[in-house]
Amino acid sequence: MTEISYALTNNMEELTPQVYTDIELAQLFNKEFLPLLDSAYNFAFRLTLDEDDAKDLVQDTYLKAYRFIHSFQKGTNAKAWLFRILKNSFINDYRKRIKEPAKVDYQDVETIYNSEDAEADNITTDLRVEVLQDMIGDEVANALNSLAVDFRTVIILCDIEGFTYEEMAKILDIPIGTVRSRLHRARNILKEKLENYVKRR
Amino acid sequence: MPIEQSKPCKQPAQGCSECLKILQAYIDGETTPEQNIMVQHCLEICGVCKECYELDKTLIETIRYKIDKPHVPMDLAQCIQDRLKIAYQSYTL
Repeated sequence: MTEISYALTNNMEELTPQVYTDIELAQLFNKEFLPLLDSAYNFAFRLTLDEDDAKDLVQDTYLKAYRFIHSFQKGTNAKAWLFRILKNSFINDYRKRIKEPAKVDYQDVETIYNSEDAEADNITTDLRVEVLQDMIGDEVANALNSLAVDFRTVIILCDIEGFTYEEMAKILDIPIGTVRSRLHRARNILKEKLENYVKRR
Repeated sequence: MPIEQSKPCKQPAQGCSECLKILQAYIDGETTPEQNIMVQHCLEICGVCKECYELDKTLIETIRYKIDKPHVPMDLAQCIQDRLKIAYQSYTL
């Protein structure tokens, strides 16, 4: 991974490297990045599904943030920048060696590759609002964790962390249209899984 | 960034395909003002879209508010600061 890939720009054009004094650097970490620790750990945990891996991933993320700090433009979105590093670290370093290989739901994968029109595949569901409201957090979390990691990621970023589609596009390095369609599909598959969960009760 | 403008709904009885396509983006606040008007109009007259809207909205709220956040290890912040300190020293030497 190159240093410039941490710059939050869509067209990957090279930005002017930022120069920070020691004091500025310390302030930047204390004010901008360390307060994001809880969110970063939450994201890491939802990606790795393992406490130790999540802890290692977050530490590595902060070290990389320090190492590539000159590519962070002061005044821009620190959380999106940090999350992009975390996501890249997960893909490059952790996904290859996590204890349980990426859980592949072949139905999910089939859905990704066999349909060109993302929004057309509205999965019909008998899931009802009242049933959903009665579900406990653990049931929803288990269903979320069972999604393929790319689907899980967009739901975490949007529904838990509150990123906009544009921010997600930059974090994931994909077009906004792909963010929209992937999120749409992820939620529909999640609904289907929750419905199955209810049926098995 | 808002998604491209869509055509108005034409099939309320069968569930409005155009509305359903952008319903989640509407809930996420990612639609244009024109699309907002189209969706709002559709939700007033179409029971299928209204039902989908309520379900998707509930799903998003359920994910947002019901899933517990994992407990952050007590020593994580200190571990990071220690490692940053080492990185800083090796960087400045």
